[in-house]
Parts: sequence; structure tokens; C-alpha cells
Amino acid sequence: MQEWKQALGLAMFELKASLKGFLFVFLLYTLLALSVISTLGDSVSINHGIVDLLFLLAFGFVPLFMKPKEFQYQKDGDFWGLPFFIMLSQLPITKKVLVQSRFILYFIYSFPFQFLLLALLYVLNADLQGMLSPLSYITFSIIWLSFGVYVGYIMPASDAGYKANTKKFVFDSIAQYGGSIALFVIYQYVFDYGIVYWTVIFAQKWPFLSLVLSIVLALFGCQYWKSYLKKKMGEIDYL
Amino acid sequence: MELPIRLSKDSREPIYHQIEKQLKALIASGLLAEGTPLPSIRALSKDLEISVITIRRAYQNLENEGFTKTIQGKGTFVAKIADPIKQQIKVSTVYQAMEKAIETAVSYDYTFQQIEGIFKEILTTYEEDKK
Amino acid sequence: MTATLEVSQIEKKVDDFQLGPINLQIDPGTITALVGNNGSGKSTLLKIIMNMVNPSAGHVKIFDTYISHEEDDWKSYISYQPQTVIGYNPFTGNKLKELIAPLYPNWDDALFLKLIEQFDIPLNKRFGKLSQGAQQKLSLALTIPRNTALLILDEPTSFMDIPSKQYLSDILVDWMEQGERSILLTSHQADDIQKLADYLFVLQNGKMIGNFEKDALTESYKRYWMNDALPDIPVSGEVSRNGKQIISNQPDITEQYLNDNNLQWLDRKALDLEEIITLLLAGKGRN
Repeated sequence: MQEWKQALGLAMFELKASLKGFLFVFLLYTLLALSVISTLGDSVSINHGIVDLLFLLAFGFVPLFMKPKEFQYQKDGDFWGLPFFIMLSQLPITKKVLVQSRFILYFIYSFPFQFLLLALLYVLNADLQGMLSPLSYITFSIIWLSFGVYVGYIMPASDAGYKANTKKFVFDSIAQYGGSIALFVIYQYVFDYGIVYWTVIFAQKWPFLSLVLSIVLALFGCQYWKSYLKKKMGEIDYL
Repeated sequence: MELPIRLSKDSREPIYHQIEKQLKALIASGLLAEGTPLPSIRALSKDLEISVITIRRAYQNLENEGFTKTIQGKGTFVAKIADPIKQQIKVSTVYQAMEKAIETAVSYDYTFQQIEGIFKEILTTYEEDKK
Repeated sequence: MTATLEVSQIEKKVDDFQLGPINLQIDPGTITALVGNNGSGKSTLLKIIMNMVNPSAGHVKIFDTYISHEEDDWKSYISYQPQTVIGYNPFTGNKLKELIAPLYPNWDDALFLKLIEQFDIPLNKRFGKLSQGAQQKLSLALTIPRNTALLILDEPTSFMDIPSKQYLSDILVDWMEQGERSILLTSHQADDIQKLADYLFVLQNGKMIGNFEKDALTESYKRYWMNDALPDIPVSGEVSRNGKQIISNQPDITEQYLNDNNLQWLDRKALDLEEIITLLLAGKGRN
């Protein structure tokens, strides 16, 4: 409990230093999401590439961009790292608390936005209301919120930093982003049903199974990413 | 408190010995009376730009010879020194100063007679100044 | 007496730079200056001590605790101020103190306020907006009052004016007297070293040249002005010569040799620390 409180304190310390920036970005992304949802209108099916893109971004990447610039990765020589994190690692804070604080912070950056997005989508999209009862929609939401954990938590898990020269960095970025985009495009062309649509079907047909599976994956993912960060902290040379 | 200690790094005499000797002279002259606290080892080390290892050595020797007393947690203080010892130090300090002056003169190839002349001259001037 | 810090056989290879093997012991109550040319590995060594860089061999111990990734306890024994403090920029001095002070049970708030007042640092301004000198001063004010057994300062005075440097050395001397504490610092300022250091740990291009007691080092170097021409072969103890001047790091042996060979000298003078360090880093006078 004591550790949890200390971790929360550290996360809040970073958040408070940039509260205005965070709220601004939060608002901006919410409005963006809102405009995407409303352009779809309530007649357009949820089985649409745009919806897939919106979900993947919201549950994967967007929280990273919620961070104000000075708390994002900064380059020092061949090292990309988070200055605040490096500073904290020199203070007498246990590794456990430090790791915990990174995940709490990510949760604060990601969860409210994701939650809001899910709520707005259901309220504004009649198509979705037709397909899913409120109870099934809760299942659907948990599927996605869990996805935000076992996939999204790779973000705080990378907080220890990254060593790469510019060439490797550019190459890795292209491989990562380009690969993701390519996969996404191919998926959209090849399959008739979108990713989000599939999860709708899952929530409808196998609510219990998808619920359990999602929660188990989220719990496992959270532990995995935490130990991943702990391990990385020991491997990297902060030269 | 800064002590009037002057160290000669060019000298062959080890630094700790110079410190020890000059502190003894200060004690014998009464400038550092009984009960006066000596600066802490670290403080003197900074003033003289000498390591604490050297200062500690000098302090230890003073303590062993009974010139100072250390009270745990309070510091080092000048001890009570018997008059004959004070006298002895005064004498030896004067002797050493004279010896040094003579050494300097000799190294500049002055003869003993010349040295004596200089000595008398200085003494006379000094006496006149006093009047 | 248990050493405060013990560095044993530490090695690290970074690209084509090889640091070590390094052995260093720091005893309670002593100040050690880490001296070396640029790129000699001083900061890397400090980062290894702080466990921010993984050594390829060797280990570091603080008191009886090995410094490792598995343990966290050792961090409360060391306060470390890197050459460039990172992560402070978005925060004000007040905020940083709020973060740091509660982590150290012996935090001395009176000392913090004293430093802030003396150095005249605004606590309500973001760190990133302060001048380099003010940043350095604020970092010191956030580091020294932690009152840990070991204080590590990497180039603490590089942007400071003379009065502030003077004040800092007074503060550090005072700080040392509060208990069995130790300081390990790097500095390119001979002045800092002359005033504060008890030991000089000399590094050259990653190689350890030695850990010298300051006065023993200064006492062992003498420069002679010769009367007579010197022989072509090196004189015993000689480390460098320039016309009729020679420098020896073993004056006793040198003088013996000069006497035996009937060579007269006019004068003998000690070298200052800066000259000695220069000689050591030039690879001269190592035994």
C-alpha cells in the first residue's frame, strides 16, 4: 500500500508539472475522435476501416502523444530516453515503485480517453446500439480496454530508453510504423469484416469467453510489461 | 580561527613536522593558551590546503607529547604545559630561526665574520627602534 | 574500519574505449578528487558506481552492500550530482525539493535554505529557465543536504563564479565535519582539488595511474636549478628536464646522485599540484 501510494505520488508529480498541456491534448484528441464518429453518422456500419483505425490508434498509440514534449523521448547521442525517468532512477526509489509509477502514469494518460471514446461511440452510433445491448457493450468495452493493456502497455514498458544511432532509429521506425500500416491495409483488403466488427461479434456470441480471455491477457500482459521494464533498466547503459 | 602557520613546501622538512613545530611554538608563546580549542582537522586542512591525513598526523603527535587534549565529540584543546617545557620550546624555536638565517647566509657564501657583522647591525637597529 | 566505497577490478569497454581495471577505496572522513584528461573515463566510472552503466567486470560495494540491480538499499547511501543534470528542466526548485527531500531521512532543510539564500536562486522558476551557473547551484542545493554517507559531485563548479566556489568549499568542509562522511568529486579546477582533496585518484585514457595522498604527492616532486651542466644520461629520479632544470619525483635519490657526482644545484622548489598532474597525465614520473 505504501509502495502504491509512493508510485502514485511520482506519477502525479510528472502529471501535475504539465497538467495544462495534458488537458489540452486530451481535449484535442477527444474532439478529433468525436468528429470522426460523427462523420460516420449513425447510418454507417461499424464494419468500416476508419473505425478500425480509430480504435487501434486510441488503444495503441494515442496515449503516447498525450505526453507533453518535455516528458517524451529525448535524444542524447545515440540514446533515446526519458529525462525524468533517468533522474528518478538515481534517487533512492525502489525499482518496484519506479516501474509501478510509470504504469500508473500511462493509465492516467490512456484510460480516461479510451473510456470516453467508448462511451461517446455508443451514445452516438445507432448502428452499434442496434447490434449490442448495453450489457454486451460493456463486454465489448472490456475487450478493448484489455487490448489497451496487453498491447498498449508496451509504451510504459519502453520507458527505460532505447539505444540506436540515427540510421538504426529511422530504420526501426520505418519497420515498425510501415509494418503496422501495411498489415492494416492488407487486412482491410483481404477480410470482409473489420477488427472492431469482429470484436462486436465476439461480444455478442461469446461474451463470457471473450471477457475471461481479455481479462486474463490483460493481467498477464501487465505483469509481463512490468518485468520487461525492470529487466531493461538493468541492461541499458546510461552513458 | 585562522592560525598564523606558514608552510614551506620547498623545505625538506615534512609538512606534518612543520605544522607540529609551529603549533608548539604558538602554544609555548602563549598565543594559544591552555584550553583554547584548535581548529578541526578538516578546517585546518582547508586553510592550509593540506590533506586531513597530514593534519591528523601532526595533531596526533601533539596529543602524544601532551600539548593537546582531545575530548570526544568536542574537539582538540590546548593542554596545560609546564613552564620548563614552554621555555625549552621557546629556546629551540629561537635557535632554529637563527640557524636558518645562518644557513641562508652561508649558502650565499658569506663568511662567519660578515654574518656576525650583519647580526650586530640588525640588533643595533632593533635596539634603537625600541627606544 | 569498513570502507565507505570499494571499487574492485572494474572494467568497461565502450566502443573502442577501455576503462580499467579500476580499484579504488574511499574511507569515511576523506575527500577524493578524481583527476584525468578529457575522455579519461571519470564520468563513466561515476556512472558505474551509480549502477547507471553496467561494468563488464568487477564490482562496487558501498559499506557491506554490493551495488546491483537486484538491490535498492544502496541508493540511500549515495547522493550523486551528474555533470549535466537531466530531468530537472520542467520543474521549479520548490517542486524538485518537494520530490527529493522526503526520500532522504537525514535531509537538512536548514542547509538547503542557507544554500538557496547564499547562492540567490529563485525557487519558483523552472530549472530549465535558469542560467547554467544557477542550475549548478540549485543542483548542489538539492544534493548536499541529502546528508548521505557518500557525496559524488561530477564537475560541480564548472559554471560557478569565484565567490560561489569559495562558498561551496566552505560548505563542503562544514558538511564533512557533521559525521563520518566522504566526498568523491571530479574537477578540472586545480583550485578545488588543492583546497578540498585528501586523495587524488588519477585516470588517463581509462587507465588508472594511482590513488595518491595529496601531500605525499606534492612533497615527492621537486624542481632543481643546476649550477653545473647535467650529464646526458638521466639523473636518478629524474622525470623531466629543461636545460639546466630538472624535475625529480624522488628527491632523496636525486640529491644523493647529484652529491655523489659532484653536481651543484642553486635552488630547489616544490611543484604545484597543477604541474604534477600535468606530468602524471603526460605519462611522466610514474613508478
